Amino acid sequence: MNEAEYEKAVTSYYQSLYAFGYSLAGNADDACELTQETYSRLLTKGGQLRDPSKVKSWLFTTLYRVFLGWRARRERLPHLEICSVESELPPISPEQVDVLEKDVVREELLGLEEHYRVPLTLFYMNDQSYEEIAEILNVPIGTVMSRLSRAKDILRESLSRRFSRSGKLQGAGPVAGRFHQTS
Amino acid sequence: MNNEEAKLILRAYRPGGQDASDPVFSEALEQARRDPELARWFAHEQAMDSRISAKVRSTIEPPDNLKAQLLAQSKIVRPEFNRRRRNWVYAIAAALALLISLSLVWLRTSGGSFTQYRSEMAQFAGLHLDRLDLMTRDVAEIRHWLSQKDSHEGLVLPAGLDGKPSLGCRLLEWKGRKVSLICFELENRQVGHLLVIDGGAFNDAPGDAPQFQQVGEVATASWSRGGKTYVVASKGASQLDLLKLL
Repeated sequence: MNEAEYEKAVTSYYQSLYAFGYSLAGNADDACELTQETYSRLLTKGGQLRDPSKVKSWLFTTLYRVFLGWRARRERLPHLEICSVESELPPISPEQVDVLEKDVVREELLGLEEHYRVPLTLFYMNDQSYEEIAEILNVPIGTVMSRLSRAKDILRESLSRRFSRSGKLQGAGPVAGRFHQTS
Repeated sequence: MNNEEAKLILRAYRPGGQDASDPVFSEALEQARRDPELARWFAHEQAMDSRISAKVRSTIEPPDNLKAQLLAQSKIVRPEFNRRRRNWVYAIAAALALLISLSLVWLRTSGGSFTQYRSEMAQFAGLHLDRLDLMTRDVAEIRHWLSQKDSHEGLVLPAGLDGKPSLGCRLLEWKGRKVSLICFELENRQVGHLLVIDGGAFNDAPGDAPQFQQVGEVATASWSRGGKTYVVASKGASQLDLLKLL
């Protein structure tokens, strides 16, 4: 991979890669480190990529593998339980989502369990199709679809809960802890 | 396909319309066109998704300097070699590493001179720049970081390097003394390395006037100022190139 190709790969994908790293690690520092490590591997191993159109999926798959490697070596992530569903809550509307502070949406998204959080973040970043998400996470397409559906339900329930409390209480919800922390 | 199956599929349909041509969604989209209730559900689903997507995208944004750091990485991480050349390159690298290790052992046991320091640092600058402690293009940030590490506060950049974009810095140790390494991006994609150590480390430290010395492929210029000894090293540069940096 030459310098121009590398620069193009950075310019085109670093933002969505960072967001993917953020969804995995739950904090900005580790997201940066994951992104840097991924591009470092592109520099040292990118020559193995014969098809330039595969750079995007290679980057996302590599970042995910780097993350899994980290997790295997480090102590496990803080485990955040999803609160029991308050079924009496009315479903949240698009207009109510508009009213919510944007940080609230991110916090609730990061509060989801990893197997829901990661595909849903990739979906909402809008850069990956369900097929690409399945390839990155190495799970069947049907699994991605069912996880997306379930993750949306859980996220909307938590947003509805936040909305129903009070707008003044926004910003105090659960967030995933720093990657290095133990539970 | 019943409506529940259609909903499961359509929930994977991105709100930006990127999936419009994907045949997997065709049947479910057609069903939504025929069934008003499913159509209403889908419109609501897309409205929710587009709003949540916009909020997520606006709050998970990389820091301002990340792109510059990633681009700077290409100057520091060693590029991949041609596959066919790898084996003998690895063999040479292993031999070099052994040679350098033996040299370092010898140097450590034989006392330090400036000549040894310059030679060792030039070799280091030429071979081992795959990691920096701080990656930034802002020299002020490097100065601040070094001062926090109690290392070479108040170092004086040579006029030719002042104003050049930095790549980052790293703290090294040479015979128990701190060495600050600052890397700069030069013209023609070359990298300049400024190494700073306390001048008291040597009996034979250079004076105010720069001394030029070629160490293998690495050109070096050395001088002392304000109790510190400076070395500028750049692989593949000429003496004239270095002169412009001083």
